[in-house]
Amino acid sequence: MPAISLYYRLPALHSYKRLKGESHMYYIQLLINGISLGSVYSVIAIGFTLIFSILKFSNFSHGGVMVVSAYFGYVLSTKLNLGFFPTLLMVSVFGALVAVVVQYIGFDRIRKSDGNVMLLFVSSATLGTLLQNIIVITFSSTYYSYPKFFTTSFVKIGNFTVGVTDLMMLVFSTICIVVLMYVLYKTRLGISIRALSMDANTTQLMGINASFVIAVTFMISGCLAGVAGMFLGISYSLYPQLNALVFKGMIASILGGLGNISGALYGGLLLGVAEVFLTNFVGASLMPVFTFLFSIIFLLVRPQGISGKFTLEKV
Amino acid sequence: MSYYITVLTSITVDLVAILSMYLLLGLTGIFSMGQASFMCIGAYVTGMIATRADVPMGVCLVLSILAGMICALFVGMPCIKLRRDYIALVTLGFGEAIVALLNNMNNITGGALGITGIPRKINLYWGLLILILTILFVVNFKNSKFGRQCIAVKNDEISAAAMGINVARVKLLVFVIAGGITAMSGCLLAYSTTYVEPLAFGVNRTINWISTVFVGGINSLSGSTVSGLIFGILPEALRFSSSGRIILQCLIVILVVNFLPQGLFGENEVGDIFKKIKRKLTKKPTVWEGEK
Amino acid sequence: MEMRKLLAIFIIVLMVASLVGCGSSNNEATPQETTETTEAGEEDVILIGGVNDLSADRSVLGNAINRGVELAVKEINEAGGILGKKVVYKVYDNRNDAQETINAYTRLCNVDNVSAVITSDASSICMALIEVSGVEKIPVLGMPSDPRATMNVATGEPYPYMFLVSQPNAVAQANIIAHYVNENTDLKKAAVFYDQSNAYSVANSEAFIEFWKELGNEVTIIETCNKNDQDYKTQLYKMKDAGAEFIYCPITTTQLVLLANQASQNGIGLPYVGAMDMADPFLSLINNPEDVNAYFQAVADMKSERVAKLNAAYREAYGEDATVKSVNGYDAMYILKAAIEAAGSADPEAIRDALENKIQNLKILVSDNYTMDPKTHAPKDLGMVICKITNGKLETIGYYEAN
Repeated sequence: MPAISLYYRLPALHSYKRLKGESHMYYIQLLINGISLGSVYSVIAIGFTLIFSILKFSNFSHGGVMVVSAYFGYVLSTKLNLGFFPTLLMVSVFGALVAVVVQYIGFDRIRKSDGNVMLLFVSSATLGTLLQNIIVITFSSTYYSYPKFFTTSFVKIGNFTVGVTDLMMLVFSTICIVVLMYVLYKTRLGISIRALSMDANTTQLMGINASFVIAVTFMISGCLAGVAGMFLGISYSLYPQLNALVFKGMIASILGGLGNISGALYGGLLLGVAEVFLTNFVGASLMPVFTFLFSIIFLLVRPQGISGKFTLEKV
Repeated sequence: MSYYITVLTSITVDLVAILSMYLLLGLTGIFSMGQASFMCIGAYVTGMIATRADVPMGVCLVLSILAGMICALFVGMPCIKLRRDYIALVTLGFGEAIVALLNNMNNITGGALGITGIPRKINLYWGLLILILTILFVVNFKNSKFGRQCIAVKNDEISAAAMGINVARVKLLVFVIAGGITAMSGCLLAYSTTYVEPLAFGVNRTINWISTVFVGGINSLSGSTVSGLIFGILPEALRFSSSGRIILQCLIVILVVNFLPQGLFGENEVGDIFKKIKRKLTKKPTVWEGEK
Repeated sequence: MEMRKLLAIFIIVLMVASLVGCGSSNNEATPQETTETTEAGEEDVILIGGVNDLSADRSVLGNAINRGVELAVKEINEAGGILGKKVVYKVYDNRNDAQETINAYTRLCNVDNVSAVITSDASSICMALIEVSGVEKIPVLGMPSDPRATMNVATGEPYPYMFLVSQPNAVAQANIIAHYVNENTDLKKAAVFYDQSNAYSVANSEAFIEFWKELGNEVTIIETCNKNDQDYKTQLYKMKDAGAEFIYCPITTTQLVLLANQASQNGIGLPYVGAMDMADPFLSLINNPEDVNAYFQAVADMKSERVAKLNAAYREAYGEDATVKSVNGYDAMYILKAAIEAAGSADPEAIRDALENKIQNLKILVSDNYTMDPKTHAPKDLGMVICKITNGKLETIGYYEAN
């Protein structure tokens, strides 16, 4: 074996050659990839932001619900041989149930005792870790993956390729937004949720059962977490640390304007596109640094987020 | 009995960091999700200096604190006026950025391979000494004019501002001080583990500190210290249960947060007990401090 | 309010009591164990310690190694133990954290009084033990990829109590695959893709780049990713556009799955090289295995006769297929057994000397003549099994040593 100098180091900021066929086509493909990645972030961000809008805290147990549902979907699809849509349906129901249970264990008491909002955060972060570790203990010995649901994993549109799951995720998050918007603005339940997000006490005085509305909101958010978890499991792979993606969801929802649901969609897409383009221009190695600078500048320039309006936080 | 000494030393290191978390969260209500990255900065400053030159521990300690404070200033300046969740976001992003930078500058930092061969200079006595000094500092800070301003800011920023407190300045000051203390704990960590790597300073570490402060009682310095001690010993005592101990720890946090929202200690401090006993013994009517 | 205070005090008392309880029960238990070993004759048991990544990010790998060790211990005990003594294996979790590892190791040394410690394949874990192993003087057997874990690179001296067992380090691994690919294929232009936050990945790629250039070939592009990245398409385009003929990618299984899926989705059919984690169950995890072509090295051929016994035992005990990491753990225990037998006692110092000098031409799963190099505390000229994936079909080419 030849002698090796261990202190040989890779060039730190390697400059790569300009791409040969670099043209607008290439950038359009990058944009498509960014949007696909962003659609994942969006689905996470929507569920995350929904809880923020009513309880005003960053719900990190969302990641835990995601992971648990993803593994639940794996068990269903491999052990019971369920198809894609039955699994999706079961997973979303399961996610909703887990979220409600999480709500009762972690948040119900604190909310009723009108405690510090930060307690809700601590509770949610702990529950997220708890759920993740339950998965680690149950599924820790080998790698798992979903069966192949679709015969083709990507579609070609002209010269561009889009992943089937990415496409479905984008379609799904758009549908989610539309349905959520309809529910929030056109139904009684939605009005109660919005009223609760503005002023919990007064809303309760108006005869609205806050506990019920909150439970329903958690169910919706858990449903989204379940779906996000399953999509993540299919298009990426299954591992307990998937719950770390909830941080991307958090960044996306803040960029979109915290507590604003359509903002979460835009925030997710913006984050995805920004990451892909930063990877292209500065390299993946420095991407987190530039994402950090980007978010600082963004917050300074537009502290209200993309959508331009917050749900107000009471002082 | 070097096992107990090793464990206690590692607990003192973590306690120093938890004290800084108390300053931020308990005293001022600043929500930093990237506090572990300041520990990382301290550990790397120490690691890079101590492996290249034979310098006394004090020098590394001071340099680490300075580096932590400068970075805290850099992060705090733009974001301290923003809302709570934005500070969380920016500090979180800062944590990831630091890790990426350390991995990238592998000529200086060793990249993902980390830095080995840092001399072990911290023993339990040094650790305890620094811990006690830090506690004294935090106690004094809490009772000082700034400390009271911090509490005012935490309770209500708008009325604090109305009272003439420069909210942004107070917050930035605490953020910088906390950054310095966390970096100091990083220096201790480097000297006690003799090895540093970027991955050890992820967001989970910060979340652990946050829950420790809450379990102890967000308004109580003694509470944070005691719960830091408990959460340091607990994983060791539960070694036999392997990966189950994380679950047990989570359950304790959830129980406390749900049933004792004020934490184990509420607003009580250990020092108060002596005052109470003294009061009972002398049976004098309570005197406000201002009337003395 | 009074109620709350009472509850708080109650919880504190409960926690402290449980701590004291645990502490004292441990204290009681350990003297008993030690008296047992001293009084009832030292011939009764040999205590072996383990520190591994049983939870947190590396749990899959840590558990696989640990299970390998456990199976080996079981087998050894069924065959009559070592030197006629029963082997007792005690393992602690380290959450993949350096400080936890040090605590667990000192506990094994001082409270449990073990004779040797088997630890994980993470370099960071092993490097955290360098200093403390010199103080406690209990030998550590790990599988670190970074040569700095067993050897002081500045002085060229090995650390007396640190040993790399049952697999070559990252540099030697890169050497093996670089030479193999150079000699046996017509691939010349490499694209290197590594995870900059993963020590193994970095050390391995650095070494590969150096060897590959030394062999007169070209590295056209170097691309990186981070731990939690989900999108490698941009890097894949760049590697393809740079005219690379293959991708050298020493990354984790999860990341390889992402890479392979996204490559086949975008019609980037470059072969992969050097991805040790492409061993089973990798092919069963990806969407289009037929798009994958690769050369990689593994410590053992999991389908061969050699491993059949371990495979069967693993399947029986845990209901899953064994992975190459279990082979590492299993072999580590057998190497330790050979060292204890050569030393003739369970004295840590004697085991250390035997590990250093007396592990020669051992027949274990990874090699027929496994020899420890006393100068580096790493296996001497250990080769690896080269595997080839052609359109999703895995075949084993054979054992290969560089030079």
